[in-house]
Amino acid sequence: MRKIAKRFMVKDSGLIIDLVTGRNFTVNATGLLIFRDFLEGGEPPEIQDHLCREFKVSRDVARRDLDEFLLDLRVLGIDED
Amino acid sequence: MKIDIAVTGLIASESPGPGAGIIRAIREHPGFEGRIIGLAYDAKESAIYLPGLCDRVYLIPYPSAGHESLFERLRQIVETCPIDLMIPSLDSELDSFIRLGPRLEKLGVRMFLPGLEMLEARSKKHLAEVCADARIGYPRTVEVNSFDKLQAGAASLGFPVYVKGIFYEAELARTPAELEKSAEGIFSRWGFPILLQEVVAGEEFDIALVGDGEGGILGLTAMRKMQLSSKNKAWGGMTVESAGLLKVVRKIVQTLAWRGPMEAEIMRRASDGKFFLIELNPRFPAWIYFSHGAGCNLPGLMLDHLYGSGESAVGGGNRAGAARRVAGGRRKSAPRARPTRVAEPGRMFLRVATDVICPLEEYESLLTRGELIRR
Repeated sequence: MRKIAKRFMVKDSGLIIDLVTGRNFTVNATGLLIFRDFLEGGEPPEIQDHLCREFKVSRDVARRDLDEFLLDLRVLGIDED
Repeated sequence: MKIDIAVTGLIASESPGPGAGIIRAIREHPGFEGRIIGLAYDAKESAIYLPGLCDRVYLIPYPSAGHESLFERLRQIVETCPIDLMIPSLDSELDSFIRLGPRLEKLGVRMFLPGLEMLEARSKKHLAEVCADARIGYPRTVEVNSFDKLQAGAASLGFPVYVKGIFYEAELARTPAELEKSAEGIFSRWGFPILLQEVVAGEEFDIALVGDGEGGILGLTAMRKMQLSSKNKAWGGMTVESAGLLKVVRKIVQTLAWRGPMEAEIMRRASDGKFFLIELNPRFPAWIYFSHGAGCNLPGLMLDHLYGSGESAVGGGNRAGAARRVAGGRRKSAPRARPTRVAEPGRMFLRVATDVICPLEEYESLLTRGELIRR
């Protein structure tokens, strides 16, 4: 579990609330899986495997989606503890 | 608790007063059984007509009429309608109400307000000193008392700058022309001094709290504004984790030994996470009803503090540990531990602008008799 995990309220609908800043955003099912795995401390290869299993997509597609999402997190300033 | 409470600030327009929110929060308090008496400056203060809000409404003279005239009117009101607790809620009237405190108390009217010294210390003119005492950042600010000093003042800070009135209003000026326009508008409403303040880029938080007068905080609701009106008033917001903000405002409250309601506007600078105090208002904010929705009913907590009702009466919320005291500053009383109730994070509110039908006989009663008696 990452330290920042407690900072977020993550709803099954895809609504994510940053309880420290009050900002909120929504993600689709792919983003939700990545975000939850990320908060739980998952490393990119593990999350990639999880995406392939869950959505029956190739490793290339999963890696592309994962990289894009992690880039978004970095832009939002929530990529690190 | 069977007490009759008078509340001001019933304007509910684009720049609303806190009165309606305070009353709604009090009415949500499970222990409250008394009457609510609205005190209005004008018969068109629209919260007068909100169903279920005020049992009685009386018109009172504007602060510009002086505190003697206010006292005379309040004395008349109390003769026919006893008031146990008075909650003035507008910046511009607080000075008069505080000065009248001892005389009102003789009439049986209680208040829970800062003293005049506290009120002056938190004024925009003295915030820099408060921040220095409390070791909190304060944006560089220039006080301007004439138009010929305006551009030089802004140049010393660099554009953009905030242009602020001494009581209310803040406008962002990006250019010398915008500065001139904003300053003229604010001067026409509030006069001099005008304050020019550097812009701190980051996240802004609004915090409502009640100080116990001994450096402690009874309760605190911290939120981030999600949408603003054209006058930069909160038109929606979400409560946030308040541990970091609580540390900041606790220093301020301890420094001032603040008694009564307060709203603090705090900025967390994006570049380094440093907290800056932007403004301290000596009253509840207009969004105070949200404190009830977030499990920390601050007007209710104030009633509990004054009248000794059970703590559970104000709903959920969290306890944020015992309040600590610091030496020095303006604190005068001995240290004493008191836990602070804080709001639940992740609660949200939106404000609604809607029409209220005003029975003509009620409007007529206020205009002709200066009072409206419903029960």
